[in-house]
Amino acid sequence: MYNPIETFLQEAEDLLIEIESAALEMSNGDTSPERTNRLFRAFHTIKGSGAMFGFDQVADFTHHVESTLDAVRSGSLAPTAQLASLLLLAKDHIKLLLSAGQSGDPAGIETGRKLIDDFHALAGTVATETETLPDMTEEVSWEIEFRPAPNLLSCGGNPALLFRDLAKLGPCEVRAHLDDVPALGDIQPDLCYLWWTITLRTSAGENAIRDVFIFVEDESQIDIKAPAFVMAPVSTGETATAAVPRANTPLSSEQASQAPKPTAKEATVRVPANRLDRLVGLVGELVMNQSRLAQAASKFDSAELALPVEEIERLVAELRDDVLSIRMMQIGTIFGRFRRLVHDLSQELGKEVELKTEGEETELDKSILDQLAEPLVHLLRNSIDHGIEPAAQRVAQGKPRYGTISLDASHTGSGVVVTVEDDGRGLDGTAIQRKAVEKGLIPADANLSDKEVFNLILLPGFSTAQAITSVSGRGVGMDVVKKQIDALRGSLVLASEPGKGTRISLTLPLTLAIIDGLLVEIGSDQFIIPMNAVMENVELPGADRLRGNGRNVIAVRQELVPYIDLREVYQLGGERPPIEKIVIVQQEEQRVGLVVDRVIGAHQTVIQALGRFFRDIDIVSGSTVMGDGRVALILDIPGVVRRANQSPDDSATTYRSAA
Amino acid sequence: MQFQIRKENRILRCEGNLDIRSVEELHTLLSEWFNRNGQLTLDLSAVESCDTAGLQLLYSARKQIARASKQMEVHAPSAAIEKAALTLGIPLEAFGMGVSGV
Repeated sequence: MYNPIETFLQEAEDLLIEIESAALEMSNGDTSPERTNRLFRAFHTIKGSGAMFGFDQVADFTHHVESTLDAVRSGSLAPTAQLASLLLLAKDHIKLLLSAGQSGDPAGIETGRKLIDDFHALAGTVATETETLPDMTEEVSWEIEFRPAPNLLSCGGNPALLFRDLAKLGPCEVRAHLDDVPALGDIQPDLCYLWWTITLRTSAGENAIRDVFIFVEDESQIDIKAPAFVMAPVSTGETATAAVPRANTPLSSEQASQAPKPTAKEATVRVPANRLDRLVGLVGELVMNQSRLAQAASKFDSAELALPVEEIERLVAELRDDVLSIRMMQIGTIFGRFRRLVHDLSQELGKEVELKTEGEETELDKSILDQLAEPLVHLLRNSIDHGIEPAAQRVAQGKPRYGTISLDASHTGSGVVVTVEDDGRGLDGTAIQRKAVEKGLIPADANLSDKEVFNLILLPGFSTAQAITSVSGRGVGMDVVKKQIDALRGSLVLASEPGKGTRISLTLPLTLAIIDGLLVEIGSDQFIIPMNAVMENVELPGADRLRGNGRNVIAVRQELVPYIDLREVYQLGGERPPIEKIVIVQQEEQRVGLVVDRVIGAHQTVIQALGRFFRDIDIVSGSTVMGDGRVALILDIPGVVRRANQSPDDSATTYRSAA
Repeated sequence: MQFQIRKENRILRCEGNLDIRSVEELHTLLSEWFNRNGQLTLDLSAVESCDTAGLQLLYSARKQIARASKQMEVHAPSAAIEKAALTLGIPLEAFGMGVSGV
């Protein structure tokens, strides 16, 4: 059922996003009038719609923000970073009030009042409850030409109301022009063929006049001229320019062409996310059943059956791709959130940090994107808290005063790479190693490469923070980030140079729902290995099984690769074939082999979750239904690699205890 | 009240709301009536509300009839029509009406 309040809340949310981005630009020094206008209109709309839908607390609060912005518009208040900060706080406050519903939030009254006082302190005005007209005493005669868009009437616009609002500003004379109205035989009755000239005498100023038309100005043509600075009525057509009352109000003839119109909104449709999920689920089942159909059809030697089945296969593949692409969203949608975060964190931690982003158009599946935000926030916090040095220290080291964090996203064919890079102090390998020894994570005499040292911080319970700040929190360490990235079937690589900075690279799959898999068989059981992890297949003749370092290893081109014997792990029993196959997979920089009986081939795999009871199983991440109705387990490569790194005694335990 | 047209002795009596929602219907009715009868006499005394679209259509009708060198007659424009015309800056003479005349 259509709920107008839902629509209002949705649109208010969009406006708040716009407000935040415009305010951040203002705090970065962008003082263009266009920016101010955007902000004014956004708050104005929220105020008006809020009042209309019964959100009185919102409307009352927003009114004061609007007045302050009005002062900026008319030039009596400068758009400073300080104002921008207040605007951001106002945005937060409005968001809070909106979520409290129409009844409002009594707890918010105090915050709201304080903010209102801050706004007025900035503007040098006093908060009043009533609408205050700008302080002008001179009356000006304005000539307004209003040519509405033809669809004004059918969209609910009502010129009578507009003229009534104008009349509130002062005595006005309205003249309609009927010459464009067609005769009955040619007229389309719901279009507006009328246009008007209005003469208005008022001391309210041009902005007040423009505000009357604020909701129709996008598509209509509105010219506001001040032909004479006199009390007497002005004859039409005169465009004599007299002195304008305020030196900083430009003549409206310069503003006759509207501010650059925003680009036409793309035709988009809002869809509730759960409907999309349902659609993806249905497509997934369609894919699986089509596969079973194909298998069954192959048993009949009938061209009549085979052709449509093949056609269905093609159509299902296309449908799959199209539906999955609907779920793709640009990563820029979460990058925007981070600007605010970096802004707030820098202030809180006393660091000066700039965020640079690139690759905002890079698209990711929505569900991955939703789960990616949290780990990225952790990484950004770590960068600002531990990575970027205080400004004075940076300058002393010859670095630029502002620390830079670069957020970058790009496609790599089968996935997306997101990097978080800072030019801070970098990772201190010695301190990390020392800490790891302290915590008993590595032996004291361990000889580790740089990379291995860096990866120590990914181990659970590790933290080199001297003080636990409110930002980085207690033990929200890199191990949590790593787990979150693993859950997305992604990978994380650390790189760092002491004194220069740190770079963290995340690689993520394009989608979680369907993957290209390699189908393998052990005995009569089938498994799927994600294709993007598969490097190569080699043979394992029975005689070549070696044991080195207490692990199963095989030599592949002079390199020793450990392998896991799935038959043993899963206690599948049965006879080994004389020559087994090893599928070599790679996770980050580690290679592991998986011993199987047969490699069957590529298989488009629709992932089905395993269900609650099986969630903590280490090396399996999901399952899928095969063409013949059997279930194949999908191997979880990070889990497989972890297993391979354990000693053979551990491999007897097949289930890890719940975390 | 819903918009209605009554035909009484070759006079079209408009009742109710003459606005964006009813102009389509009125447009059709006026066109047909004029085509069939070659004249148009409107009784607007019972129009309860009127907006831009309504007045625009009345003017359009007048223009059509003027083409046929005829006159459109409007009887007793209601207060709503007068108010709308005043607010929108359209003189009643434009419709061939005097002010609250017959």
